[in-house]
Amino acid sequence: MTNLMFNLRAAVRLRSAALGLAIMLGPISVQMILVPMTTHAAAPAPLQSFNSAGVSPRPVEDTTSASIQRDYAHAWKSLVVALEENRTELLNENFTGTARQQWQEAIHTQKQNGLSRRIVDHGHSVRVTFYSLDGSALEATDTADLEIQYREGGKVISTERVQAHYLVLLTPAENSWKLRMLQEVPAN
Amino acid sequence: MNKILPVVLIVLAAALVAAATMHSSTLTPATTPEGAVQALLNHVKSHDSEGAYRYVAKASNTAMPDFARDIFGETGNLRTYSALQLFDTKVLREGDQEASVRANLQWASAVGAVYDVRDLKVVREDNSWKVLWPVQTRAKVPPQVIPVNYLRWDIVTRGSDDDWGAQNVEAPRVRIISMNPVEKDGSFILLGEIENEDTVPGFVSVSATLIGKDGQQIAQEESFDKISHVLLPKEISPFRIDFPNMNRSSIQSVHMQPNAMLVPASADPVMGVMHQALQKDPRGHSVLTGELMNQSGQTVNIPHVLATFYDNAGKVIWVSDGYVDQSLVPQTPVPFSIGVRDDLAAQIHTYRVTVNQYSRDHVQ
Amino acid sequence: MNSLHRSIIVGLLCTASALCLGQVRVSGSGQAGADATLQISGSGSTTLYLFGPGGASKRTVQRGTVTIPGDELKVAGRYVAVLDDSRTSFFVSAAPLQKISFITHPSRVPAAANGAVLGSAYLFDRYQNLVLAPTPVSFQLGVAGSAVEERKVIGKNGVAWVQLNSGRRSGPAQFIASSGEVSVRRVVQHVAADPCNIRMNASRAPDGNILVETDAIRDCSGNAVPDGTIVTFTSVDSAGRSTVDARIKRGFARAELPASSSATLSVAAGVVLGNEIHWGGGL
Repeated sequence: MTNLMFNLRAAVRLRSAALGLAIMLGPISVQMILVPMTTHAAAPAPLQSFNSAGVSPRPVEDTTSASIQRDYAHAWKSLVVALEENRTELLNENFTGTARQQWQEAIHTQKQNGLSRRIVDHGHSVRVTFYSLDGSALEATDTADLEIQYREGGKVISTERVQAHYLVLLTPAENSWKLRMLQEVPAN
Repeated sequence: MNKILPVVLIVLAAALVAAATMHSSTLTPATTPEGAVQALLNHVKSHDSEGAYRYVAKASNTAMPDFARDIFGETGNLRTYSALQLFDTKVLREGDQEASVRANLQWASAVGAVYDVRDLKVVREDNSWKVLWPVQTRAKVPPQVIPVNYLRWDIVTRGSDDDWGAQNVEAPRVRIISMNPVEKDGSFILLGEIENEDTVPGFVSVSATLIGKDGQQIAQEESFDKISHVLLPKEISPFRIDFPNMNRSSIQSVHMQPNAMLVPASADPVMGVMHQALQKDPRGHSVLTGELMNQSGQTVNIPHVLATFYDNAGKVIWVSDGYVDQSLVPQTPVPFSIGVRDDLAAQIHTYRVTVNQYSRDHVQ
Repeated sequence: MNSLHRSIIVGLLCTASALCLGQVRVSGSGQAGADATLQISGSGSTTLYLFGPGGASKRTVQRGTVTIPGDELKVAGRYVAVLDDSRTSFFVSAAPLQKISFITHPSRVPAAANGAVLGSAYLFDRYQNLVLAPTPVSFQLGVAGSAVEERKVIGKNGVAWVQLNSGRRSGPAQFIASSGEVSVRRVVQHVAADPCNIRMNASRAPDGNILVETDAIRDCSGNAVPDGTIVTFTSVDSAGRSTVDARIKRGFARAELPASSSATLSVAAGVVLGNEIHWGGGL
């Protein structure tokens, strides 16, 4: 009898503890499921490769090379998010001139038609092909490994994985390099 | 009792306030030469020209307005933007009727602290000591019309919405033509000269970045006012960049960055620097003295003198600067004196003086 | 092998081949701004999605021949057409050259300087696409009335560049980049280089001072050094050193130095020294 009473008390205590724990942890768990934790925007991944060897007419300085890689990676990250969320203002920081105009117009019409693109960026291999003597512009080719989902509303209508080839023109701005042209070209 | 006490307190407060604000109309005679100088300078410090003038000897033959102009400035010169902050005095020589007192003055001005040393003659007058304060009267420039036909540059730049590649005008080409790093008094100092090689005027500055042994940047400084900022075509300015508390041994390399931008400018006024000579001041320190001559028709309110000192190999071994607290009226010489490091005086083979100018109408 | 097996094999092969994905075939010039025609197999209506660098659209079309207007294909790049479960892509290339963005450097250059003038020409079509096809570009540089330097290059990936010497004569030089009917011009101001052979003369001024004056100051190519250039006159005598930073006015520089019975006078502009005069015997 004593043992049974003891066990009963222990069981009640255990159950109470479990209930208390559940009451405590429950809301937290629900919050974790329903409300995604705010994460800080991660820095863009560095480029897979950046080749500026033998560039003419001007060699690319180390500091310029580092800046270009940083700013180009930032530009792609902005473009990916802008195309997915249909937000043209995201292009203001890293795009300029024709590229900004064209891609903002593309996003605008995309949004008007209820469409979007989700890009998973698997990396870029960039090769510099031209750096002007006065440092006012730099041209490069970029082979990008992209997975693109074409969407209407929240529905995926098609997906593809491509090795996309871009011709890229960057020009220096106040404190960064900005993308002035981003033109996709055939592989040859 | 309760009513009387507040009334008494109010009356007492009023009396104290009145006493504090009432000017003393009686002169406290100076009983010593040093006391006379100190009394005069205390009134100067309080911006009380009348009070200070009461300690000026009649033998000075200085009228009150001239004295006030000499002490407190005129024509927008540097003295008008200054206040006497600190001074100390020392009796050099004292007799029954005459004495000599050295006054070291520190003025707080719009361009920083300005130091001045005056050896003042003090005389006994009417049973008290008074300071001889002769004011050099400057010759008046006769009224005249002076045509200003020197070149002037204005700038029109491209608009912010202009097409990429549209025609634009560029900043002037400048070049650092010499650079010499030295270590003095625990500071690492970069001396040198910069030339505007272009055919247009530019606003110029020089900055330097020190790179440490580990390849990291350890300090960055600019030339600030140890440079003549507006350079006309082919004009050369010295520069000096100070890195306080910096050891040369911790520096691997220096990255110099000259900066220039197009600014509107005038080729006027033309400045002459006459009778430059290395001398000793009353304290025995080396100074470069001379006279500034404004050869144009426009008053230069605040002249800034820069001196470059070279050794016998032509290397820049020091750059000094100083502001002249008198304005430069046309065609009237004004003396200047700037300090030279005593430890370098013997190495100086030659020197060059340039003048930066600030006029109320424009900056040059 | 029965027909079911054959269909499966064809289907597997088709999923591996982009051509087979085409129930859609694309034809047209493939140039920016030109219409493109899609041939969609089958019958009935369907929804066509078009994604590209110029935008994204959705339309209901009747299978058969569908024309995509050139307005939607202005931006060069890859376009993806999606309909039903299939997808096809096609490239739009730049239209013919219509605009050159010409970046020149510097805007002012000393005369007779080697390799001092740089020009980069970026080739665009009317829709601001880079014209990637190799394109001949001609660069010309010259001041009116003097010889024109010309260089022909082939633009690669939309860029053509050149490095030229500045002419010997000062003045506004026209720097022109042209290809076919398209040309653009910039002005590169040729200015006098460093002064050459500065010569001064000294005489006594009416007030007793020393009046110094230079001959006309020119560079080594004979171009007049512009007004406003600083010329420094120096006098060294027993009283010390006196300097005047004079400015060239109407081609000459002049100044008054303090009177002296014996002084050494010198003149300089920038880092170029002129002659020395020993006044009254000099020091």
